[in-house]
Amino acid sequence: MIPFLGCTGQTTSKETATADINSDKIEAYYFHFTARCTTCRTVEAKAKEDLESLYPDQVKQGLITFQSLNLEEAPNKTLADKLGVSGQALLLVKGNQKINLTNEGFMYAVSKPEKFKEIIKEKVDGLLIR
Amino acid sequence: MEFLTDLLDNSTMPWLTALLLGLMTAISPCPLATNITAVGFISRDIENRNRVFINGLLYTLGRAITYTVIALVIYFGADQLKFGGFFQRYGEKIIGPLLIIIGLFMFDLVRINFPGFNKLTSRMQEKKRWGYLDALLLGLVFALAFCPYSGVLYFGMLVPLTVTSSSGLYLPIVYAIATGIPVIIFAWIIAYTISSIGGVYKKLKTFEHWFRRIIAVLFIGVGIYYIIRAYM
Repeated sequence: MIPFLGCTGQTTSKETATADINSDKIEAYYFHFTARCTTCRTVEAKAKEDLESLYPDQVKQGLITFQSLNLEEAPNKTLADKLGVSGQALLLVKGNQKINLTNEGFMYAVSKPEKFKEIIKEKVDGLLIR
Repeated sequence: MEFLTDLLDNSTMPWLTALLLGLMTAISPCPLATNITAVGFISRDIENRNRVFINGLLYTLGRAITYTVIALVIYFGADQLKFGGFFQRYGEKIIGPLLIIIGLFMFDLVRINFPGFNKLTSRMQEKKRWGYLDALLLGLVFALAFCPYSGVLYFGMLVPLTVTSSSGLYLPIVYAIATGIPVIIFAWIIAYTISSIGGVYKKLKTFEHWFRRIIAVLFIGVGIYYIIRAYM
């Protein structure tokens, strides 16, 4: 196992309070810069696709949302700062709970999409229960 | 890539993880472009075989210094978020124009006639003093070009691993060596294999003048590649 050390990477492991975010909703965010790479696009596309195929009803009802945001566009900076993001990141946010899936995405989305899907399912299921 | 991911998945040893992350960085398209440029650059000293190989090692050492210093700065409390974000945002943007400038200089298209600058240029021609330093500098600078993918591998995986393990500060060095492995291998091949084939060495020597121009074109070409990636 690679030690992922909780929420490593571009975000802090602390669960920051994210006010005015509807706590029933699970919001997935993909933050990126203007310059993209093939792997980066795959991580984003897979995450979106997996959420839609795993939770079609919730996605339809707007209980699970997915947004891809460019960090170089000013309006997105505010949200990124609030979520503690400064680089590329794939995040699941529900109320004040935050799960960083960036590393898992970059590890598996290209070479083992099935495993990536399992991880997304596990994390989202966890958030749905709580 | 899949093979490396599998190994990484099962790796329990930090040094192995660092090594694998480095290899994954080395073969991903964008750092590969800097490595190809570096191979061209260090092999321009083809008339001295040992030099080519030593340049390859120094280039890797340069990379190691950058990766270790960044990890150290974060280890000693710099805001990892802001720091990492800065390099990921600007690294790729700076490297393109820089490569083009270096390329133009190599082409002798740009001549700066500042007082004292001629001295500097002529000293740069005295390869004995500068030759080794420029390979090191190239490694230092090229390591700063974090691309979206290598940025995640370094800032997202290697740095956390480094700063959380008590003796982890050797990990960026392992990572850097792995990112430089292709350059070391090619430097070795160019230095001791290609140049020792009968006649090739002599031909290369007469070719050298043109060889340098080709390398200048390579720099400009890779610079344009980065500019297209970062700005278009």
